[in-house]
Amino acid sequence: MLRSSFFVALIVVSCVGAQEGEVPDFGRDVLPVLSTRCFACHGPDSEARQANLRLDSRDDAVAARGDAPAIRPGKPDESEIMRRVLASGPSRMPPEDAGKAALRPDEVSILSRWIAGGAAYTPHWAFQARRASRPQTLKDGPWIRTPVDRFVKARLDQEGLEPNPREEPGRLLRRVSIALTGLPPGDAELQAFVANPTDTALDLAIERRLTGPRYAEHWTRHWLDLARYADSSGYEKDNPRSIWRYKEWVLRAFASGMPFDEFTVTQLAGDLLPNATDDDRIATAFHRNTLTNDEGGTDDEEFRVAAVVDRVNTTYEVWNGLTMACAQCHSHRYDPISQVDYYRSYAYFNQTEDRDQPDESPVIRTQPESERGRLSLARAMPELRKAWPETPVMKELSSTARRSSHLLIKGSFSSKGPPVEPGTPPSIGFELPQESRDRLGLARWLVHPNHPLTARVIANRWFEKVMGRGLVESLGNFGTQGTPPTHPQLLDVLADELIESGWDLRHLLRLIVRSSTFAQSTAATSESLRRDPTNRLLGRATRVRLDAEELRDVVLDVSGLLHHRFGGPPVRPPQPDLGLSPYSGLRWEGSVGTDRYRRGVYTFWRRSQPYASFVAFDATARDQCVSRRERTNTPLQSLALMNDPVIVEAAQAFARELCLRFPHVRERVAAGFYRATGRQPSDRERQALLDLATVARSRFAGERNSAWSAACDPLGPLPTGVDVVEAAAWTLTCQALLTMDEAITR
Amino acid sequence: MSTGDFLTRRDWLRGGALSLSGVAMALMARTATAATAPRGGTPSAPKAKRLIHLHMAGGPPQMDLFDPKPKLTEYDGKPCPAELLGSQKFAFIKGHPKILGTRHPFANFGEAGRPLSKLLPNLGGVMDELCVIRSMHTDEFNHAPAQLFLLTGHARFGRPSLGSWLSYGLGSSDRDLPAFVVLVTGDRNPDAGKACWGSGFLPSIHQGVQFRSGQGDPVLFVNDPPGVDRPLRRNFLDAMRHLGESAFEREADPETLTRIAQWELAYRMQMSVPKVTDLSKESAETLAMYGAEVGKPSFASNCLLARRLVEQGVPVVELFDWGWDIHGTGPADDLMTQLPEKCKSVDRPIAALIKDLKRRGMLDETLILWTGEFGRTSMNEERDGSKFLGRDHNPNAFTVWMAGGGARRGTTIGETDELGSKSVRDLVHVRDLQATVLHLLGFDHRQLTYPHLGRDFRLTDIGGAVVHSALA
Repeated sequence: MLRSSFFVALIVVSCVGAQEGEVPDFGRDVLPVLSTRCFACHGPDSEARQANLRLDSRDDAVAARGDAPAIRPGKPDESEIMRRVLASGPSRMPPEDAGKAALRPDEVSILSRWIAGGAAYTPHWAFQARRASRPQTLKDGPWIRTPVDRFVKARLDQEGLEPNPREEPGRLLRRVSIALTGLPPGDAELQAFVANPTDTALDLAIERRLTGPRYAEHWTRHWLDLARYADSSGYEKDNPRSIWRYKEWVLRAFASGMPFDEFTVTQLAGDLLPNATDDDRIATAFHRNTLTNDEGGTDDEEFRVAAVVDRVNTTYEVWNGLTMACAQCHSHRYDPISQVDYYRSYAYFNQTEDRDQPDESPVIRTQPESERGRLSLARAMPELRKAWPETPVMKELSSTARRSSHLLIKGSFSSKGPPVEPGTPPSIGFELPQESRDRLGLARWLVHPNHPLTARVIANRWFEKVMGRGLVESLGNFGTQGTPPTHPQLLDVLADELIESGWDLRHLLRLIVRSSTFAQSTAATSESLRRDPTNRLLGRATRVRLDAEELRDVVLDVSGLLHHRFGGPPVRPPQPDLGLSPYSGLRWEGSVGTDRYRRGVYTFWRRSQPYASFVAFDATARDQCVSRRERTNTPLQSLALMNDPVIVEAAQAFARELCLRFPHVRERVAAGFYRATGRQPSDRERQALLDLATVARSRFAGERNSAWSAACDPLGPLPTGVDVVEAAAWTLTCQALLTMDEAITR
Repeated sequence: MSTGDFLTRRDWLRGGALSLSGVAMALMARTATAATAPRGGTPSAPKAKRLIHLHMAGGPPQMDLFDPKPKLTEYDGKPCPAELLGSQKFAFIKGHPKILGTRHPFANFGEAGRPLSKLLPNLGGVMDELCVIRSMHTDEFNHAPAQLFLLTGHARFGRPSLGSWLSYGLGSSDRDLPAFVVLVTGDRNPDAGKACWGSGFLPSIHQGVQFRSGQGDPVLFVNDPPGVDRPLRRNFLDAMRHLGESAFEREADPETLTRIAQWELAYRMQMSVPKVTDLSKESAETLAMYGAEVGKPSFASNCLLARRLVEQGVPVVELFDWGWDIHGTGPADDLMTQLPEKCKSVDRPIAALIKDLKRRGMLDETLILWTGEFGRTSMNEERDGSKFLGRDHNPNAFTVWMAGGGARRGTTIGETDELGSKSVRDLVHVRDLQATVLHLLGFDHRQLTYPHLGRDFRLTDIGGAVVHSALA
């Protein structure tokens, strides 16, 4: 009994598609079936096409053929496609002898009802112009704080669900703070807010976090996953690469609130801007984050082409959520992007000077931030200039040296097919004006208000970073094989708001973070888990385990060790000896002093051996653009939380502070718990921590050497006034506070 | 993620397997309803109790290793017959390719005198243990999708992997080690990355746990910091459990339950991992048999480690070895040099693994599965006029083999055409292989399901049939 009611409930939420008797929507219901089951052989790829039939175009699908057209609108019984999907034996489609499975009854039903209803084809939703219509049934109400709430509430109403209650103030402020800056609030702000948790106070707290270095560091870190930023060049040798000035550029862009269109254009084509500055050129290092192969005997042209290909793929994934890589070797099997389209996009990026050289040329030499203001000194002493860091940049070939671009047959760098001119994929539905056929034109096309994809894709990315789940779950795939949006109109409204605000990402963030939707509690109930296990309807706040760098930053911040310095070269905080780097033979020389305690965004990113504890928490090698990190939950993470010297050291520092400030153990627990979570501990939680402190104290009392190690290795000697046994016992207790489930989630 | 039944039915019946308090159990009972306990989750009459999967990422060439083709040698260098090209798609081959005869001789091995490349002489020594399937085919011809298809039953990301399904079905009883361990060699992860051992929509407790294969410790951070001893660590974990359960009471997040279990497992791993990964405990004779060296990461060390892991109760171990993508575009993927190199690195250890398990009486209950994600073409790729020899991807024919664990010894199943480019008799689709592996481990592939987004999912999706001729 329980079982059947469970499934009924699940189906209620998941089957948001057409009901029986209703004409299925092409994009939502029909296209997924055709795309998954038919397009591999009857889709956009002309080379893979069988029987000269394509079902992705209505004209072809309804055209007269032999006995019957594949689709006769209005007449499923006279449509060959229906006969074939229902057939058994060799005439069945998809073909059994190719190991393909037959259509499920629900898929057959969708096709049949769609044909009966006239077989209307509409372009894939993401390629259609945005329709920011407001739901008509929506009322205003106290719960509706931003447009986000309007659409979320409408959808919940439709399902007969109520939103979760509001989160406790302290926890809410912590979540706001980590979502916007990657760091928790300080004690004073927390207390003030909890004492007076009004909407105005919350809005002010949000406003404070939409500016300044902490905000910039946080959003830079997110961006660097997309930019595949690393401090080494990749492939076998993986030599160190000096490209951190680009990271500084991103940091300053976020800190100054640079509009996203300018942010886009400068990174993709800053060198082509009129009167381009050094800063504009450094921004173009976005596309110099491609890998360089320094291995002996490799063909430079092969790896130059590989870098250009990566630029095409990355550009379309980041800004358009399209998996262009498929079209490199053959026309896209699922999305209407031909191989010619691919190489027309390739042609934009095929005119730069770089060609897989070990010296990373072309580079520019610029003055480090720290030396600015000493320009005259540098003028006077040219040798100072030589010490300035070099940054690889994009530089267009001179007009006499330009390459001709060709379709590359099967994607191979030296199998040149017909020549191609730069151009954007026509199926996107908005074409680039003729006159701007260079990277600058491409960049401006991407952020043109009429472009159907960019604003949706970016709004969705920012939404996911804050809410823990995108409106389109497949952040990097808005094509037919991606997941359709849970709240399509909301996505369009956010995209429009982003554009109309002058591409102000902070405006977008305000709409999301100030919403009642965001402010809901994360608590699930058995009922809500049953009806919406993955929280697609946003009837609660999604509980998110902190990203690798966030976890480190929060632990260091709560313990008071975090050292803030904005920008600068990468640092090497302590980590276990991983042995030599596989090929370059470099060993990790740990940074000393305050550089040990910098934010994770400054940690040296070596592609062949990324920072060990980051890897445990799902950071990637950054060999390529990463739209979304997996969030795994493994025993290796527990081991890192138990034994990573960084965590242990933070626990030691936290313990010292609590011991010094609070003579009474109950106060220590209360204050520590409050800082780690934004709320007071329950009796059970308080008791668990007090018990741990007590048993640890009695153990260490008999073993003062162990106590000294536990309290001082690696942080160093205790301050006066702190007893070693007390400090050791509280180190362990504080480690529990820093690593417990609630402390590493938001 | 989904409602957390990381407890399996068996754990459920035993109760308190993870030492959770009564409150958390009661809460779990409310959130993890009976419907989410694994259906088909009790293995019935399993032939194998554990799986060691050896995956040669990149796609080994079947006609150079397992499937000799005299015609291929006869036609060597001649243009490929048009009927063979037909509508076949290639990743890289262009124009009209030429046939490439194998350059590596075969010999007959074992009682039945079955052919095998001389590049694999040690494997030849255990030929009678193998059930070779020569008639494999798949739907995918690029690495990442083909790996995902083989390992998760779906060519795109998001589905649970074979090992996760087994972990889910077999249960995560009080082990000292994860139920599903992953070991990687070949300088890089498989193309599809962590998704090859991801748990998809299954509770995250079932994901594979990757031990490191580089220099240094196989598992980082196993040692307690100075000053903290085992009893104190236990006290710490007791506090963590209270705090975790308390968080679960407030939030009912299934991930919290996984995390509580992972803390406990981590605690046990602190003792078990150093022991199980310490290859110096092996005799010189065993080390030599595998060709493993203590402290030196290699496929051989991973095979030996795999044996040690299953011995300690780990039911699923997957070894990934990258480097089998023999395109012939340069020295690094040349049929003449790289293939012998790869064979050399796996031949002795794999044979040693089979012999070692056998002499320990474990082979009967351990299924060894050897796969690539697809096969290779009968034609020389000659990409960009390359003078090196190599073959392109081929989804229409490839060879896999099984040994031990209820697979039929000394058998060869299926045939490819004269040139080895397409499976033509007793075809075995990837889903059939998956169904067979599940069958040997005691599961009906149609019954081992998980409800997700309104429907029941399974590894074989809507296909798959057990290959009965492969069963002992």
